[in-house]
Amino acid sequence: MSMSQERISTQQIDPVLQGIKDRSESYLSTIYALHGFILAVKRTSTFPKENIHTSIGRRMHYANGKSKRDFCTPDLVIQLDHAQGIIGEAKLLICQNTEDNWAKYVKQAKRYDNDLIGWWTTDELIERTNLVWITELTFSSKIGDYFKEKIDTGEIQFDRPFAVIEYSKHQKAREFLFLRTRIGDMPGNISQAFKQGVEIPLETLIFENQEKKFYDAKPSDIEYVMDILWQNIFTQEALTNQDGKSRYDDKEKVWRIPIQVDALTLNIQKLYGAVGGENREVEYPQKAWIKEALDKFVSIGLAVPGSQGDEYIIQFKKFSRPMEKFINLIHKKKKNTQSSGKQLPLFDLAGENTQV
Amino acid sequence: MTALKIDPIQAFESYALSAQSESEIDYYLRNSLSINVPYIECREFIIYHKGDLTSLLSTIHYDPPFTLERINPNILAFRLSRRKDKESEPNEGVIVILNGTHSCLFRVISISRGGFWVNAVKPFLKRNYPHLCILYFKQSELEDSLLDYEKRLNRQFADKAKVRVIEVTRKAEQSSRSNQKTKFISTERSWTNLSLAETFGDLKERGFWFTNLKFRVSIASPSRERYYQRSMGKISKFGYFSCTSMYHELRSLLIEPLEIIAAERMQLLEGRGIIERDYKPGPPLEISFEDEVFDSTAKVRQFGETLGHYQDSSIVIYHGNPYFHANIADQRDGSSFEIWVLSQKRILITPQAKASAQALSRVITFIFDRFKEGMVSEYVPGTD
Repeated sequence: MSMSQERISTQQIDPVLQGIKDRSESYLSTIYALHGFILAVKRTSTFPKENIHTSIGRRMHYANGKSKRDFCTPDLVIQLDHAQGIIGEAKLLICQNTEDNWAKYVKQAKRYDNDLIGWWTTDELIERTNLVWITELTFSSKIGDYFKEKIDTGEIQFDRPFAVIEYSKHQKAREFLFLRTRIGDMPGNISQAFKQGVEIPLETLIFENQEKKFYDAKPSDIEYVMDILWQNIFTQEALTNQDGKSRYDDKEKVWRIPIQVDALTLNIQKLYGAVGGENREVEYPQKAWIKEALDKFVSIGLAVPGSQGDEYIIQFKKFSRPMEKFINLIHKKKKNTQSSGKQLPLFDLAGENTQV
Repeated sequence: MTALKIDPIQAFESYALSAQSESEIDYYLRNSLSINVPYIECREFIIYHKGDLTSLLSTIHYDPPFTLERINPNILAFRLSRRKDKESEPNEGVIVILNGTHSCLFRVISISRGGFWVNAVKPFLKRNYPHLCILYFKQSELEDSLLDYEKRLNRQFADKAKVRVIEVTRKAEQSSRSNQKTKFISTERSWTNLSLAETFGDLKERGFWFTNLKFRVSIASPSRERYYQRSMGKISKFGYFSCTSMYHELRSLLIEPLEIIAAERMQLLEGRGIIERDYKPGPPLEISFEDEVFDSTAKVRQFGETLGHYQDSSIVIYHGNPYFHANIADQRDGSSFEIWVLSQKRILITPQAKASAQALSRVITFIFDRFKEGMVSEYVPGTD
C-alpha cells in the first residue's frame, strides 16, 4: 500500500475509530455511573450500611405476573432497608426525540412502576420503591423536561416517586463523577444530598469497581468486546501458554489458540462481569456477545471455526494497535464485499486474509 | 625482577570452573579481586527471577546467536557466547550467577571486557525476559545509596575514603529548536572530577538526571598527605554495577542496600493478576508524584504519546484527555493492565487477567525512564 493510499485509509478509519472509542468509553461510564450511584447512596444515606443490598442487573418478577416469564431486569436495584428500595435504569447516551422516540423510555420506566418480587426480604416484596432514571448531563435537561411535561399534563402517571438523575464527569485537581437530581425526588435524607449534587472521585470508583467492564446491556460496538478478548485473554493465552494448548505456526507466523465459547464466556464473566445464576443475579457478558465477537474475528481472518460446534481457533498475531487493526480489517472486508456485490459470508476461509 | 601478571579474566574463569560452592566465588571476589588491566572490570547485574533458576537455565531454549554451556556442576557457571553474524568472531566469556540477598534476586557476574558484557550478557538477559528481569533504580535511590556508601566507607576507613565522580551519562528534557512545544530527551556524557554531592547538586541545578555514573574510590595515606586510587566503579539505573577492586565494600555498602529496595518493590508487584487472585482483583497500584505533573491537558497528552513508544506491547487508548485511560498488553509475557490518569499527581495501574511482577516492573521502569520517576505503592482512596 502506498503512503497516499494509507493516508486515505487512515482518514476513513479515524472517525469510525473515534466513534467506537467514544461509545466504549460511554459504556464504561455507564458502569461507573451505576457503581457511583450505589456509592453515593451508601455515603449519603443514614440507613445502616450493612443492611443495604445492591445489585447491578437483577431479575425482578411482577407481583401481578401470570408466569415466571413475567419479569424485568432493571440496571440497578438498591434495598435501603426492609421497607424501602430504589429501582434504577441508566441511559447515558440517548437518541434524538424525533417522532416521539422517547416514548420508549417512558415505557421502560413504567415497567418498573409495579410491585416487584425479588427484594432481599422474607416475602421478596418491599413497601416503598423510588424509581430513578440516570442520564448524561448533556441530555438530562431535555429528557427531564420531557418526563416532567408528560407527568404534569397527566399524560403519564407514576405510582411511585420518579426522579431523573444527571451524571457528568468534571475535573478539579482530580476527575470526579457528579450525580444530581434533575427532576423528582429521592427517598429520605438522600434527597437533599442528591439535590445539591454528590461527587465521587473517579479513582475511588476504579478502586471500588473491581475491574467490571460489562453490565447487563450489550456494548454497542462488538469491537469493544473483541479488544478486551484480544488484549487480556488471547495475548496471555498465546504468550504464556499455561495450559499448553496454544501452538505457534512458524510458517503463518501466528499463534493458534483453541477456544471453547462456554469456557471463554465464563472466564470473562468472572473477570469483568457477572456469572449470574444465583438468587436472581443475571449473567454478563452473555455467551451470544462473546460468540458475536469470535464470529467477527473469523470474518476478518483472525480466527477459524474449530472442529466442534462450540470451538474456535484464534489466529493470534501481535498488533501494536489492535483496535485500529480490527476496524481497518472490518472496513476493508466491508469494502471488498460491497465492490464484489456479494453478501458478507459468516466465515472466511483460513488463508483468505493474507494482508492481516 | 618482573612481577608475574595474572590475567584477571583467566583467573575468574578458573575459579568459575573449579569452585565447589557459590561462597568460593563470593569469597574470591570479596577478598582477592584486584584488576589493573584497562577495560577489564568485575561486572554485575542484579536480576529478578521467581522460582528455580537452576532448572530454568537447564531447560530454557536458547535461540541462536546465543549459546550457553554450563561449565561447573556445583555452581551456576556458564560459558556464554553470542555471534553477531557468521563472519564475525563470537563474543564469548564466562558468567557466574550467585544468589542475591533476597530469594528472588540473583547476581549475574563476570570479569570481562566491556564488549562481552554489552554485546553478549546484556542482550542475553534482555532476550530472556520475562524469565530473567533486569531491575531499575530511581535517581533518588541511587543518590541516597551512593552518598550512604561514601559515608559508610569513611566510617570503615577512618574518614580517609574519597569518592570522586569521573564520568556521567546524563539526560535532560529539551525543547526542539524549531518548535518549543516539542520536547525530547537528550543524552550526553561528561567527564568530571567532582564529589558525589557536588555532582548531584550540579545535575539537579541544570535539570539533568543520570543513567550511568563512573566513580573513583581513593584512600588517603596514613599521614593523609596523598590519596591513592583503590578502585574504579560504575553504577547504572538498570541494576548494573562494576568495579576493579574493593568488591566487598561495593557489594555490602552499596549493592546490598539497593537490593533491599528492589526486593521490596518487586514484592509489591507480585501476585497482582486477577486470575492468580482467584478472580478477586486487588487494589490498583499508583505511581505518585510530589508535583502536579498532570496540570494541563498537554501533559496528559504527552504521557499518552510517551506510552505509545512502549516496545513489545499493544495499546488501546480509550480516552486521551482531559483524563487518560488505556489498556496495555505486554507482548513478551502476556500480561495486561489498564493505565489511568485521573489526578494531577498520580498514575493508576490496574492489573488485568494476568499481570506478572516482571511486566509491571517493565512498564513502571519505562514510565520512570521516559516520563518521570515517582513513588510506587498500593492505591488507597482518599489520599492526595
